Amino acid sequence: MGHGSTIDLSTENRTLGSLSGKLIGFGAVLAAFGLVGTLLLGMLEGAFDEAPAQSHESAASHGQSDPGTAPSAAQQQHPAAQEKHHEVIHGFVTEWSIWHPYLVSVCFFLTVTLGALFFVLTHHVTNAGWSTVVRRIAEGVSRNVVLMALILIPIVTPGPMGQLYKWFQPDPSDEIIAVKASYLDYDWFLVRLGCYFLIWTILAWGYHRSSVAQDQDGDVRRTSRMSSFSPLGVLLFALSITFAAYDLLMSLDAHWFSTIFGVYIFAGSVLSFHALLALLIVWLQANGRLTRAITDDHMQDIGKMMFAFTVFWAYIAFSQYMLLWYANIPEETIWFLRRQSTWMWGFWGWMLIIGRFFVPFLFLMSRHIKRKRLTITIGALWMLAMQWADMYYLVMPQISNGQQFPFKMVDVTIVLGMAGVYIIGLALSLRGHSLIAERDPRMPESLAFENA
Amino acid sequence: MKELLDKLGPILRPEFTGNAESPEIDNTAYSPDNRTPLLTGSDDNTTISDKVCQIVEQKPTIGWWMFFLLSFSVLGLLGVFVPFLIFWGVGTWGVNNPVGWGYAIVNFVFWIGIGHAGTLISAILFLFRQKWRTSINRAAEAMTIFAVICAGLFPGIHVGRAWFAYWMFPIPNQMELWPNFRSPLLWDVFAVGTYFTVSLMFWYMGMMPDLATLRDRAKHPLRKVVYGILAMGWTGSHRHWHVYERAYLLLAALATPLVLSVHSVVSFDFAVSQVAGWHSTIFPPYFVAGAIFSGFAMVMTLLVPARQFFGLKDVITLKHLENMNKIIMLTGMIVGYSYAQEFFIAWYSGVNVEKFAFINRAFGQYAWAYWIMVSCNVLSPQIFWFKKMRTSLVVMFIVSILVNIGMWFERFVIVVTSLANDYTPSAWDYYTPKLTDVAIMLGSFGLFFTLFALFCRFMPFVAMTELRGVLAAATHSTSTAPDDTSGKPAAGS
Repeated sequence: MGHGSTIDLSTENRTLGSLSGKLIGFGAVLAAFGLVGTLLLGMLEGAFDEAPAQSHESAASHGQSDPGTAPSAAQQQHPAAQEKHHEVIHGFVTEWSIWHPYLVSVCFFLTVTLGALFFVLTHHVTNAGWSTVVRRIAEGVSRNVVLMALILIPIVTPGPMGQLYKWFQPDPSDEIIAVKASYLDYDWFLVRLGCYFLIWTILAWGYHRSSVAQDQDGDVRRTSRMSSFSPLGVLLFALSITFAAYDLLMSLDAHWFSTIFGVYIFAGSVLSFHALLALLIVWLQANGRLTRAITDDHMQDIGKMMFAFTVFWAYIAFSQYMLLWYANIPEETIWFLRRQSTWMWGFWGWMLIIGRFFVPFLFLMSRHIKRKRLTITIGALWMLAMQWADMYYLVMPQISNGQQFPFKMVDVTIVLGMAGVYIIGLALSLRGHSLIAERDPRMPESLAFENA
Repeated sequence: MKELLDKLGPILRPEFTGNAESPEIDNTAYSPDNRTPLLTGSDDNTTISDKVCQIVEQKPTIGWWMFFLLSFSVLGLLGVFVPFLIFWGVGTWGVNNPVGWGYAIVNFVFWIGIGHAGTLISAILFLFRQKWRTSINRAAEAMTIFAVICAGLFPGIHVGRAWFAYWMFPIPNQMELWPNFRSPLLWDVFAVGTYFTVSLMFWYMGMMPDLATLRDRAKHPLRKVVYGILAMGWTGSHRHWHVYERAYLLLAALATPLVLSVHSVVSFDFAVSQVAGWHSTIFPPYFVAGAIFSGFAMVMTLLVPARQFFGLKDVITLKHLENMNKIIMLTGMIVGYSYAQEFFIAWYSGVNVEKFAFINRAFGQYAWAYWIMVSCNVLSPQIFWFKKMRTSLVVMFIVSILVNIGMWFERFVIVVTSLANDYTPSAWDYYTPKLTDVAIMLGSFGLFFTLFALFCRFMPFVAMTELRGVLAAATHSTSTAPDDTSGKPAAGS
């Protein structure tokens, strides 16, 4: 930490002001474009056709010479059951529905939002100094968790649930799902989701409110209070993001399990939020906001966190893959086998390995890359695209048991539409108060921060 | 304990009576608008050097001799039982048919875990600009190296025919016999070897300026020569400092992945297998968190008495100890999270053997070991939610020992319960260690504490030059001597 000259905040343009209108307008156009595009392209691509009844599915996949269709664990464990059932019982839905890309998109924006919440909590739990100037932006992003709850609602209604989650209407002869039916139960699922969003909303709004209130009264005790609550906040956050990952993503294949799955989602979540943070800062500064308060040194630290979580994500992803590959137990490997049995999904996996680890690892290493606005923007956009690709990889290969590559244009239009809504949410969340935690006691330290 | 230490202080270390009786200064007060100083004393650049150097320069006290001789005699157990083991073979261990891995692997993993705090403090905390690391990093790094030495002992003797231990390395040979490159046990050899090398380099390189200080202060010619050789011609020129600081940053960046990789590879020893209770994808990060947890606990166990005996209360302050307790608490909860996830997923998986493995751990024949593990690792650090507790020397000392016990039992639970009750019930058995197992385990503690005692006696216990950087920041003094411009480069690449 150096001792640079402190900037006078009062000379800084530090509210969203007229930008919020522009942002809302842009968001509305994008949302409308996404909606119209989804409707039009969806009709062209047959996305709204009546989905076939789910209870007697699996016609699409069984009978093919399919390396992914290993005998299920139920049959291995119960030889008697094998005689009765010759067809393979999947723990997942094999037909594409419009809700699949919708879920990809929800998970993408939700993980980014939760990354923001984690950023705020970590700031307080570590009594950090450098990040004070950017914390308000993170608080603003984290408040979008309420918007995400609203966006999620259509998915958890019975119709889409049946089209996404096999455990919603399981095969009566599926003994594996029967074992965990008490957990994968619709009512209990709704209660859990409600709890997660309640926790996140309370944390995000609570921290934002307290921080904004400090702008007015400058009460340092607010910082103490936020700091002393933060360890408990981190604990609640860790448990809720883990089980949300199990519920929304891992249970898409109700037979499959992996203890590291929650950590995997967490890694991508924090990584992608730092990318969004960098983008927002670049955009705000391009519009004359906070031009001197947030310096190259802060950008460099955000870049360092992106770099660190790039490596952390790769570490977690490698751990999961390597251990499943090595032990080679069919009920576990089937999840990856499905993602490797066709060249297109194989390509997608390699794209994640190279694009989400090797490329950013080399790209973000240099301090100049992290400090220059143009290069950090490229890196941030890339990392966000990779987060979307990762969510796509987690959701989509269940369709036709990985035999098809179900990419449709609605995949893109839904993301764009949701991005529009998300941007409107951001504008509403960031306006009406300062973009910087003005009277935070550690503001001078953060303003003077230098990366030696 | 604190009272006991204070009472013993004047007896064990008369020259520091004044210091030992000086009241503990509480610098842990949290104030959002003010960073509390890290050092509580009124030391300046000179007195800091005096304070640290006199530990080495004065005649050893009775206390030190007692500690050293006790450790050394426990080390003697190794001298007796390792030859005994090599002569008679591993049949003198308690291992039996299903439990083929007993104390040897438990101790190996335990010591490797202990050896994680030092490099975390010197590398990761450096990158995170945690200046409080400067008071504790030297001792923690030394401890790391000794712990890795203790760990390295076990693969050497558990191969059975210790004279073939070099077969662990892939050495080209006429018989074209190679270790299995797909085996995580071989990866261990590389991972631990790399870790030891880099940690040693990091520790030694960081010590060079301090060794030069000892050389310059030395009165006895022999002392001058030995420290002179060790200091490798350090003069403290600008050029030296420039190269030193670049190298330090580079080594920190290189050592950071090592902190994660070593215990990840150790976790692979278990997790790649199909043994129920071992094969879990969360093992790598879970083992790393556990390693940092136990490593910090061991640093705490060593430093709480050491700061008292060596009169370093205002260098290793309550603030440092509190910060370490917070890390113990965090990593303890990550470990608790992992226990919970394993348990939940074992049930969720619907796989009968997995379910059995975990219920058996908690309620089977080794339930006593499991609940020792849970209460020591998950419950005992929870006391640190209270600030009074995490700033109490007595409490932190007790918790640190409990955590060490708990982490030893964690490895015992993982290794033994899964093997003792595996897929073939007819082969199940109960594992009981024999005298050789226990003696070698105790002996490894003797080795560890002997090495640590020697380190305290002959090496600079605290990184003096790094402390000066913190000192300057605390007192806003600007120093002009080139030796004193040791404000380290903050993290950056």
